[in-house]
Amino acid sequence: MAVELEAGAVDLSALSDTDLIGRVSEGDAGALEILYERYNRIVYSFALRIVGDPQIAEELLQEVFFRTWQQGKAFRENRGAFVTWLLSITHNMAIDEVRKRRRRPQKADSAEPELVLAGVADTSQDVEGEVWLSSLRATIEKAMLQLPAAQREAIELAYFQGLTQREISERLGEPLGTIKTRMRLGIQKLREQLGDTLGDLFTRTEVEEA
Amino acid sequence: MSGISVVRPQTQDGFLYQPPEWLLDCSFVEENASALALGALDSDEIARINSHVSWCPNCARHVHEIRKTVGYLPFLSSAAAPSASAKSQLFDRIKLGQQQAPLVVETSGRSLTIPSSQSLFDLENSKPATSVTSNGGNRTRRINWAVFAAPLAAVPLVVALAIVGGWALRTQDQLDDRRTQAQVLQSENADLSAKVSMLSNSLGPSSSFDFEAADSGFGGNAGGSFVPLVNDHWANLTVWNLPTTSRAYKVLVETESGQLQQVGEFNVDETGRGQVMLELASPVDHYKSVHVQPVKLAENAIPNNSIDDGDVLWTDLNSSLDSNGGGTEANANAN
Repeated sequence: MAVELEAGAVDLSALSDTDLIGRVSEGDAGALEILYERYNRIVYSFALRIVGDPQIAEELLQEVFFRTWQQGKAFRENRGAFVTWLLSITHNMAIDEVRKRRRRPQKADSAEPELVLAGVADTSQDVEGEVWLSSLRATIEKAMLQLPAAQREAIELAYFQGLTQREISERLGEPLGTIKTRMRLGIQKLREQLGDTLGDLFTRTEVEEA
Repeated sequence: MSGISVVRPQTQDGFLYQPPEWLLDCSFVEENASALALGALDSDEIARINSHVSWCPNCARHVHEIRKTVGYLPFLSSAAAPSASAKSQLFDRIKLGQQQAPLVVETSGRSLTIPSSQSLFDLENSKPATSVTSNGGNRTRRINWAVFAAPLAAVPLVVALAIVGGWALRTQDQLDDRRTQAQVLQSENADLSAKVSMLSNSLGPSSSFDFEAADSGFGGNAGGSFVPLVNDHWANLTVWNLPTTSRAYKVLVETESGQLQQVGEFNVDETGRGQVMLELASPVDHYKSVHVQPVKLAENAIPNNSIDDGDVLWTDLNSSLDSNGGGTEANANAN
């Protein structure tokens, strides 16, 4: 449902994320709508990747943006890009959900995340945004694929499945020290490969403005 | 970081002062920074790193860099798009909050009210991993690591002052955080109270319409309520025990001319429960009935204009109004 904007309002879609979140913290629902349009798909995709359930992922999507609406003042530009902040909220909430569910009995018919993903159509009309996301994804995937499989596995189990390094150690039957080393070396290699090449990708809106 | 060397003052008997473990913990941070950023540490390990990076600028920088790298990982997720109803439900919720807890009202045509956005709780502080930059950056300027190399006689005093000062700073920060959280909770409590009050006021006998399930067929024990809110242009619809063979339902209202208009869409949870705020173009008494239908079936029903087709729940608004609030006529049809 579109939120009506006041007459004579500025073109919000031309504003940077930082400007928009500033307006959101002052109660501008139109600014939130622009941020939602920009990032709903990546937030949803990320949540879906973690929880594996489209309905729960949608609930998380709504909750993430509702918290953004309520607590936009908590964003601090000097800590990083808005999208990083948004996705860190998403990660925390999704992992909380996964850990809660892990403590409950699992449903016998719960689908595997990858199968669920395969069944979800991307109906995005935002071609420019999709190009941006595809470019990011390709760069990061390439870097991930260059990691040894064991390091990649440790990173994915921790970040996308919410396992602690002790839990990973137990699951894989490997010493804790080995898991720590895999994580450390894996992230270190990612850092070396990605370097600063991705830095500019997070300032998408500023680039577009220029 | 291991690059920092700490000079320990010694006496003939050995160490005069043994700094606490977290002060010398660079190797622990270096070993676990990746796990911290990935969210794979236990709470005690997180606390240990938090304590250390609040004093050690090099480790704070290291953790920050690792976090930046981990921040790229969400983009590995395969592209998927949420349903359109997710957006409408989000902004319905926001509108409801604006209506019921206004702090500032702007009137420019039909403008939105400003919500209570006093919530200052730092979301990043709620996550398992620590925030580094501000804490580390500010505090570490107060600590001059060179003091450890100062003349022996001055070291115990300086170290003791540094520790006491650090504890005081951390304690103050924790108190500030608690105060902020308390303010947020108070604000949320006030918002909720306003909503409860608003809903209670609107739950009078003449303005609440209950859905009831018919004895037969698909509706089973499905039920619900339709509650007009402010100015009768908004209504809250709550349903329960709806068949979960369809998770997506739409809400239709029947106009005086007998036409159906869709006014909302919502999902039910695994128990068949759902809720949605509806915005109506006209006051409630301008409509004859409300219908709840599974999304897919409703699409087939509308072209034939057969109002009952696909209904899971419906309620007759006119009969309820005519009866002066004495009850509602409600029904639920088999799908």
